[in-house]
Amino acid sequence: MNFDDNKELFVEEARELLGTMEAALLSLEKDPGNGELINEVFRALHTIKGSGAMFGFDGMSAFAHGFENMFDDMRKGLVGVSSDIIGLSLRSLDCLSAWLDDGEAHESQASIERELEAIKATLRSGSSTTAAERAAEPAAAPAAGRGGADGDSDGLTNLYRIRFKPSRDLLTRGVKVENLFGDLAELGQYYSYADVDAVPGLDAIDPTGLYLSWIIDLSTSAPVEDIRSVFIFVEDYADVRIEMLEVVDQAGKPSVPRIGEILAHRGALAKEDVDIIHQKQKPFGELAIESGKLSKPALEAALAEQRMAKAAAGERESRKESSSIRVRKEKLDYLIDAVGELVILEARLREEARTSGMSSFEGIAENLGRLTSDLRDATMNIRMVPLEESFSGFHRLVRDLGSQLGKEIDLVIAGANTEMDKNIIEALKDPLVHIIRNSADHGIEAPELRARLGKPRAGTIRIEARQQGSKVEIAISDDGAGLDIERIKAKGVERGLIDATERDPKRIMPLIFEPSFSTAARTTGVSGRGVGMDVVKSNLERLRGEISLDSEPGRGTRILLSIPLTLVIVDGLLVRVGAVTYVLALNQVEECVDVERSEVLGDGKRRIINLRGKTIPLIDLRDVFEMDRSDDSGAQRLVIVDAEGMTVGFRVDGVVGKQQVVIKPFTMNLRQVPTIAGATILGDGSVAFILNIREIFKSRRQSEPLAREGATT
Amino acid sequence: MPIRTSAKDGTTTIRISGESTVGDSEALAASLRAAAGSASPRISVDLSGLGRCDVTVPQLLVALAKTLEAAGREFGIVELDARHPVRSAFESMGFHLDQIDRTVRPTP
Repeated sequence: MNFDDNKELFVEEARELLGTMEAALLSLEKDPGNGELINEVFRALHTIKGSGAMFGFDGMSAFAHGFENMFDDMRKGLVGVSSDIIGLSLRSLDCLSAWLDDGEAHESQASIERELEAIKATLRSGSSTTAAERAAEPAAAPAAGRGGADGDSDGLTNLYRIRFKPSRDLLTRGVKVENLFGDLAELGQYYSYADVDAVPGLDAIDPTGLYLSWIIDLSTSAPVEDIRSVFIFVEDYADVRIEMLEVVDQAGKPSVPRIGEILAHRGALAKEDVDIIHQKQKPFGELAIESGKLSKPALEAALAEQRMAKAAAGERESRKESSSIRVRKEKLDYLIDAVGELVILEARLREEARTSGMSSFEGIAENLGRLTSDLRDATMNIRMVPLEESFSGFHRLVRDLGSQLGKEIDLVIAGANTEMDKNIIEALKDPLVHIIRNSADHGIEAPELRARLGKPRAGTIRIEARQQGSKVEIAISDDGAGLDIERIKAKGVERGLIDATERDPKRIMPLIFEPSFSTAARTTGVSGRGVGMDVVKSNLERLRGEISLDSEPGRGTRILLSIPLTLVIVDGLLVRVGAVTYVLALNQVEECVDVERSEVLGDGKRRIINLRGKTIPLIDLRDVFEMDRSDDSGAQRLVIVDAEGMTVGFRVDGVVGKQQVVIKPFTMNLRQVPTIAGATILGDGSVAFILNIREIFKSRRQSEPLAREGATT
Repeated sequence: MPIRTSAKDGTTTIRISGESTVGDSEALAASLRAAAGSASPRISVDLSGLGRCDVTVPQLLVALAKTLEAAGREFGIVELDARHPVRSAFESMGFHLDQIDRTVRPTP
């Protein structure tokens, strides 16, 4: 690997670090006391600074250095977290990102640096008291019982529990207990809890004696020997027990214990009390305190342990990711392509073996088939990545939209670990951004209005993803005003898209997907120009996905995207039209039926059938591909499909069977034929076109209105 | 380690200033015992003037709290700023001000 390759890897890594920092900064804004988040930002800035300089990004390195210093001060407790600092830091990420894109400073760099200096100057002038206070603090004592070292070593972060029970005379031996805590702080983050049960009253106490014992939870990447060495000078006068707490489950996955488990393990609560409290539906800690069985400090200690366990588990996860090998996307695309060819060749070989009548040949073909199938699944799996990669940036988007629009908006994300083909995830990002912007701008009301309506001041946008068979469903919903059906209808009537008598909201709402359709009275910097939802829809359709929406006035809007897991291989139904074989995506096929010609009603291109009491419009694929249809007698073979929520029958000449097919890319000329979604090579070496059901339906509907589906007789 | 005690409206307040380590612990204990022996129904400790301390200070405060609790009297620590060095020092050694107060004012 040469210097340029390494530089490219640095840029890629730096982008990931920027994403990590963005997420950490947004979390830090809500949880300003979280030292681990500060450390996370600091470490990322430190890496960007160091590696950036190595690869010639000197200006960027110096820029990162300024922010690194500020976060270092934050780690040390010299600087507090404020929204100004978070805002400026987020803008600095944009600046760093632009640097990575263009290799040169962004125009905002100078102003950000000026603002950073101004913030630092303010902090310096206001920090004299803090400095004095720090000078008065016991040596190396960390703030709030948490240590300052970031555990920046190659090892994984582990969580240790230290039980420290010193002898009564420890202090008179000259040992300074506070120094032990200072040493632990050098190793990582810790939370200590002093057990005061053995401390007697004033009458019985020896003021120089030590009646205390401690439970200390330490999160560190240092080896256990380093922890033992902290206690090396007191081990003869103390009982020191160190145990490593599990932050991974039996399968090796990061695991964070529940608060009840922690309290039971610490002996702060009996197991049976834990079970009783668990049966109620409130936060465990709240209930435990309400029950009078637990003190607030004991709960704080357990919560601190849980936070550290989460941090350690999170770091393990990220380390696990970093232990993977980076492969250029082009190489992966080539591999997928080659496997696709292999699948096609294997199908041909199997066909040859079947017709050869040679059992040994058939046996080999069968084994090769199994291997090919395994290889195909494994290769496809390589491209599957969690949606989290795309979703993580939405927190920033929503934050910025909230500030821009003067609205309070919470973003809730669920199912971000759902995996999809990387190419699809990339293509989904723009449509999702557009939908979120619409929700923020048109959906969520201003805080004052929400308060008047009896809603929480802050609106919520939820993104939920889940896998449904061979598809992934992503629902984007908000608790805002909902769609204004009357305005959409009025606009639709004005543009001649619907009849003025139309009352069904399910037919009115989809008008927002029509090109240049906007009901916004004014355009804002965020949305309202009528360029958008139609583009969202067409982008989704390019991915063979579907979009639908539901809305309730005053309650909000929900948009559902349904996208195939992968674009490369599709389960298809092979049908014959004339002498040509076509492929229909199996997930859109409802059933295949044979009907007598006499059961087909209507004539010309407007035909319907009555299938089990339901009227279904027919499309003869011979018409679509301009084939001879003079022989129209006898049984009619129909494939019933779902097209844009309508059930439609495709008249074909024969159904060949089901087959998994590899989609081959088209040349530019064929991309102009919308009714063809792609092509594949069949086992006999022939080419079959994959039909775009939606486009066929749309084109037929436009040229010849179809009979309305759904009527029952 | 200057210690000043004052009484007003039924509350005896003990103000501890400067530094207090194991070498000062006997003197601190004596002051606390004297305050505990007073007739005040409420004892308050003001640590805002304390700059540096070791573990003996929170330990003696726990002992005072337990003594007062046994006598049915009230005890409290004057609220410290979140960034006060004594607060940080206490917390770094595993003491939380709520924890010391709790010995006389258990959570209902």
